[in-house]
Amino acid sequence: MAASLAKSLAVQGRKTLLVELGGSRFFEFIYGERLGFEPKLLEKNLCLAIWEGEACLREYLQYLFKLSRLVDLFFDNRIMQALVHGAPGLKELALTGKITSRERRVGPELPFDEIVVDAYSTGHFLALLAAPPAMAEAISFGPMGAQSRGIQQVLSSEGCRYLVVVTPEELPLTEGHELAHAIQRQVGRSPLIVKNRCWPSVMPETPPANVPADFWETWKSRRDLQQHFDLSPFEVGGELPQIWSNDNRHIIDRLSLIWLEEWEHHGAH
Amino acid sequence: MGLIESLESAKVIVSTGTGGVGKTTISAALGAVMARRGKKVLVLTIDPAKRLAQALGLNEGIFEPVLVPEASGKGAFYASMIDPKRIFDRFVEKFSPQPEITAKLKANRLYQQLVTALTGSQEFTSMDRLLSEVEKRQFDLVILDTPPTQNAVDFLRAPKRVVGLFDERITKWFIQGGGKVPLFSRIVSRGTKAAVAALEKVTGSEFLHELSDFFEQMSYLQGQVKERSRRVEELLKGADTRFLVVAGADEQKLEETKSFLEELGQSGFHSSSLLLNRAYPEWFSQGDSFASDGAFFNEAVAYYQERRQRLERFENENSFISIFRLADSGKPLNGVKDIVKLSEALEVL
Repeated sequence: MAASLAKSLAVQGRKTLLVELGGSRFFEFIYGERLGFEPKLLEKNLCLAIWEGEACLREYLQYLFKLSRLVDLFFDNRIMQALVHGAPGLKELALTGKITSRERRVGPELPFDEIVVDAYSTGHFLALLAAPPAMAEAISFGPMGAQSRGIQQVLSSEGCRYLVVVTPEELPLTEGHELAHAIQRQVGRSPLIVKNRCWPSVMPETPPANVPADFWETWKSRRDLQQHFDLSPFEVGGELPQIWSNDNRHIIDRLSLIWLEEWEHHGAH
Repeated sequence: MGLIESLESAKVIVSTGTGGVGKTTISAALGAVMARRGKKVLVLTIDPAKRLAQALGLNEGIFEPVLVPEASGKGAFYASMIDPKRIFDRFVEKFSPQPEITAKLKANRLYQQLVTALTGSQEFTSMDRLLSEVEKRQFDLVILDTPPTQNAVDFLRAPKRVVGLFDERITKWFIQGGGKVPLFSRIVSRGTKAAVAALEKVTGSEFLHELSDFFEQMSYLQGQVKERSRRVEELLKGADTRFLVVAGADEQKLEETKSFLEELGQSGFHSSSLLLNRAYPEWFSQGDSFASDGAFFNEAVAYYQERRQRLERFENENSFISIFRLADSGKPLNGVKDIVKLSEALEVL
């Protein structure tokens, strides 16, 4: 979903950076390209990067101290290695710091119009969002406290938008709805909910010949949930169809075209 | 050998995999199978989905094992939630030499963060709880549903990170002088001095003060942290422990899972099984040819046929792993009856 959104923004001429958090390296697999911390141009206007806490911290220190030797000294030091790997909140803060660096004007320039972050799944993402306010509360003075408050400000600002992606099945809808509430509590912003893998809402009146009863029942159940599951007070930002393909690039391409059509008709949110 | 047979002799089963693959539900269903076979089983889980928690009788605030009679069969099925904060707090209370140290540590603001949501703490406390339950010897089998990680291997690496943080060679830098001497003047090595100066510039003196205080209090516990971690590792590598890796059937997830299984083997953990959850819908697994005049249905059939071919290819290329495919019933989990039903599906794999 994040990739299709980024691609559709790029097609519209917006310089877009698609960021994957953490180590699953999903996009490396999809695009067959070695990706790293620095953005890599994959298609016109579309760059990709993988951001992890330690690399973000290293870049931030490099930006602060300018001297590579000092940064190397820091990361080569056994005490600092243990701290970076295990100290409460440091990695989460470095990661959210990088995500918000453009708006805070801290760190190296990120020359993009849009940054689309393919974030962690529910619990991990909420832990990530929780780090800046927790650190700001714990450390009231000094650079750490100030940076944490700055990060929190951007995460709660108009410039930062949240999309919660759900599929029209009971558990994902319930969890997505709960996640939207949790994000709202955490940052004070209402996420948009996007329904993905929607089956056609218009069904034949009777099951076509030889369609198994289970398939028919699943279709009806998904249609009903898609239409009637109460996601209020959150706005639904799009309903994207199920694309029966095992090829992820094909899915991304198809979904990006759908995003473009959607924006042409309704305008971008 | 079937899935259940491959796990039946185990006294500990670690159910692992990335988030969102149905690991908790599978752990519960596996518990139900083993209970039906006469065992006294405990399923330990962290942060289960609300409906699953309700089905297992795990109401908020209850962390002691709860008996689930409807899933107990001839044996007994217990479920319990893991609360990282409570476990950390108990750990501190149990092993602190003085109540003042417990109080100081609990008041430290970095400790308060460590025990809640931060990297490594859930994994460390899950493993500690597992060890406690196994050592009590009250159950024939303990199934640990691991905390959700972005990458399955994170679970195995996390405790080492926590232990690394409390390495005495490291903590001594922060605690020499009992906190009375400023941190900077305690450090002798020029390299460390420069690194700490850099850290202070980034974080500020208040953070360093908290950190120093945190390490000072934790230094009384570092022996226990290391000892518990050593025993957990021994338990996980023991002959009575099996790993069940639960994964989705998407191709990129399969590659990630394969790397994880290889790492498990290389790290000295015992043989494991891979369960591909929701590999395809039940109706698809029950037939070979589908001819219909429904276009949407035909697209779905073509999709699942291709997926089946990919899965078969993956299985052929990785014959060193015992791989099992579980079909998706397509129905939401509404109670213990559904867990029992799922357990019956596991039993025939």
